[in-house]
Amino acid sequence: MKDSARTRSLLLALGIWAALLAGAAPGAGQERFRRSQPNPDPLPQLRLPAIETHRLSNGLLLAVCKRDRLPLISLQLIILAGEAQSPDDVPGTATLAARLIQQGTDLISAEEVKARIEAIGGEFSTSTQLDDSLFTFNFLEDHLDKALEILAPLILQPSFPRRELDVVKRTMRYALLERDKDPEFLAKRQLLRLLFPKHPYRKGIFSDDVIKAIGRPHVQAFYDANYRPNNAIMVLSGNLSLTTATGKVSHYLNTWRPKDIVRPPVAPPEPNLKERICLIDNPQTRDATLSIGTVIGPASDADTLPLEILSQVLGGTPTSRLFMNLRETKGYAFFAFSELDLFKNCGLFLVRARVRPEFCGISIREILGEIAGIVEEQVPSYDIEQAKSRLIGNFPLRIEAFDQLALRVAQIKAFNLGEESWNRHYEVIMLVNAETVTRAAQKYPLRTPVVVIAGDKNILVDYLHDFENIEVYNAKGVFQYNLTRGGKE
Amino acid sequence: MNEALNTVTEKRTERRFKGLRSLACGCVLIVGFASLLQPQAKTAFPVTTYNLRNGLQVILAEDHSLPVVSVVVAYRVGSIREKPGLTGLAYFLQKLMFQGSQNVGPLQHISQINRVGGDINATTSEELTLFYQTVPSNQLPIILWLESDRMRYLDIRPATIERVRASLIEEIVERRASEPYWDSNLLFDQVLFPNFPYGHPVIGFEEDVLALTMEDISDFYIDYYAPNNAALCLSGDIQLPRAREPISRYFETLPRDSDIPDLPPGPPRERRGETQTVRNYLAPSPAFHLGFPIAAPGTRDFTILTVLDYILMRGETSRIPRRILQKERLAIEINGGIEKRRDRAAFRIFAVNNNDLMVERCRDAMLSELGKVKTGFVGQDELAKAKAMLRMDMVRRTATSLEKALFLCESVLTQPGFSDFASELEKYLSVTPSEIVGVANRYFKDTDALVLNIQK
Repeated sequence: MKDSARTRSLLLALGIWAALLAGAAPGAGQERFRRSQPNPDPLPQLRLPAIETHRLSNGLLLAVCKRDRLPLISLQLIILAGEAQSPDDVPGTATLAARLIQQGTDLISAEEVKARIEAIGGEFSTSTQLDDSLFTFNFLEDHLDKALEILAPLILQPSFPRRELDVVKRTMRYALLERDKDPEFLAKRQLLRLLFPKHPYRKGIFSDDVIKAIGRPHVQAFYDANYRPNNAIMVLSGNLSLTTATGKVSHYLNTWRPKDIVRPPVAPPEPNLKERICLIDNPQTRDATLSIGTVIGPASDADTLPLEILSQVLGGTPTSRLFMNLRETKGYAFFAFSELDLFKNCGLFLVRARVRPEFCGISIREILGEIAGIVEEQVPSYDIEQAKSRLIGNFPLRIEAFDQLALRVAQIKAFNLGEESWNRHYEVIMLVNAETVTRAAQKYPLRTPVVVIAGDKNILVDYLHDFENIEVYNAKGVFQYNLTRGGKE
Repeated sequence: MNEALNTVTEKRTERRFKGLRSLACGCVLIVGFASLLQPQAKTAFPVTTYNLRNGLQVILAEDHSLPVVSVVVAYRVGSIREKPGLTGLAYFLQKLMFQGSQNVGPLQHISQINRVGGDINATTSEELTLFYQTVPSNQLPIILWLESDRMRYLDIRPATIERVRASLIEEIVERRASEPYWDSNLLFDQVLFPNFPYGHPVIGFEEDVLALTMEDISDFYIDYYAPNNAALCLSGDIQLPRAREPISRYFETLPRDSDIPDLPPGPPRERRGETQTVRNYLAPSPAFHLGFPIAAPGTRDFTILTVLDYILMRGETSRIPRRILQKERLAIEINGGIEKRRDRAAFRIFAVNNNDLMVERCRDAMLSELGKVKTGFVGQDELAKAKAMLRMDMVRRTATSLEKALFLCESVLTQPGFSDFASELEKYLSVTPSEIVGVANRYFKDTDALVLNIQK
């Protein structure tokens, strides 16, 4: 609250300063209209294309979002199984399965698949999240048949060839080793490990050492259990109708056989309720990278939007409280932002920052103070309205590209988000006020997040005296010892 | 206003009188780009262009799919306008443009865009400096106000200059530390583009950036940040007749400055191959650069070479990656393709290898692939694949309001003879196998190959 007022005062002071300078400008002949910011026009109406859906006889949910501006189609196929569904002893299986899908079948080699995709100017990619595996295929609209002809055998008859399995495992391993060099990744990975100690989402945070344990039978079993039409959603955005899409997709995927999929309910992870500071010793790192987080409700939860607005006020942009305080006012940080990561079973409220090592301890205290302030004291309506207008203004920007549009529709369907995330999105944002934000903030233990610092312990230890206990981990995330005020334990 | 701004204003006034001489020919010009386009072609989109009296080129592309508008202001200035000892100036100015102007506070531009959920960024190349933002379309008057203020009334202060200088030096140091082949890349730039304006880095040399003075910076701003050296593109949810009014209000009232003479064309690079070797103990593996100077952008040969670039280097199944990375595994990584700098262009490839023997074998394999296109026709399927990928890339360049605005600005300001999207695409689609054999023989002679080896 105090800091918010300070931020606004700072902005106001900057505005007055600019205005005074303008008044005293030597360009006395300068036109009057230059001296003050014009008013915006009224907020334009947002007319979104309809999302039309049809469930095929084999259970595949097909969604079409018609856009005729460009001769492009973006196809997104979501399999509703991600790393959370990987076997407990071989995390990484979901990722490996998705990557191997594009490596061909018994009849089509991996190279032939690539050649066929490039022959239609297509772009094919895969990604695996905690809850799902996503296949994105963008191509020119006159190649819809060819695109489905390429995709169908990959999804229906993948052979997971052993040679390709080894190549993909090697590539994955190198990529993971490369990521280990990024302190931001190290800090976030450790945070997720600590927030999801026994939850299936922990499987999403696998290291390079587990890759070698994954064999072809694991991948085949994962595919057999999860790659089913009744466990998948296909979204097409472009210049085509639902009728055309239904006809063509049915033609190519009608032999994809459904299977009952039973998933026992999973309880959300236990929240952290007391101060917990963890340090990943990453020698030779110049700065301190912070990843701070708390478990919140899932993507479909009604509190998500108020918390998103709270996050915008706290650290959504370079003019939000965290950035203004830690970087612009105090000069402790290179950046400091907050954001939400949302999944099917739960979500995360996160703060990420990179700070100068000598200000590491005090920066953590400042961040925790900012979080406590925004939770305890009602956020001023002015800040809430600013954050709402930012979300409203940003929404159409995020669905402008064809693939982003298709992805958004896919997320809405995968997380059962409903019309509140589409046609009623503006309306739902407008309903949020200071009370709903405070209520949502106080429902979760945002004030006691897990704090992870990635940096050089030998440098940082001098600046972390303020904390009673610090858990020290090595760069692989293995616990080493507790550092207490009295010494090592 | 402060002393620095006074100086800028005085210098501006002095130069404006010189500019008046050419004002007589600055009449309003309305070109119906839409009429040049084929309405039935899906890749065509309506564009209107006209010039303001002060010489600012205005490009308008209307599209009401979503209530957003992208505004791009492109200045015809980049690193090729820098002189020896003053490298990094163009990029320095790009950073400085966010630090406030006479009527806009230091954080006001960025915070205004953030407040309304917009995106903002800028980029500097050898030829252009582009400032761009995408916002809800009701914010258009504010963006035009912000952009026009910094086009004319940038607030250049010693403290701001030092802040920008510090961040630039940090960026140079970080890039050098994180990109082990960066220095060799700069060296090969100078081999490929030996004329100073083309061959030095956009980010600048550290010693030059440290030595830039307030006067160097304000002179560069005055010289190149003028309406008659810029283009303004609005793409997205705009109403054509209505959009002209705020454009006129905020930009047409800015005075024209003196015209900037075209850079004299430097002597063409001598077509004679050479091989150099440098040692880099910090490089994780040996590597090499291979390059050929090629035809100038805008020529038919350049168009054909662009299609050939897709056959040789673009995508995982193009000839060179398929042979080097998949079949013979001669390199850990390769990248490259055609690179253009105003009226100069080169085809270049960079490869990282496991050892010195692999460097040699990899280079020979690349030259042998280039040899094959000199002696045999590219098959119809392979050519069709290259054209499909090229078409997809071109369509994607206009997929959002911002991409479209950037494409239009770059095309209008840098592509000689650019008329419209559809006919531009047609130039590439009409390339034949025999034309490809012709350019390969003209530009990929083994004796013209430029090579820079990096040994550990």
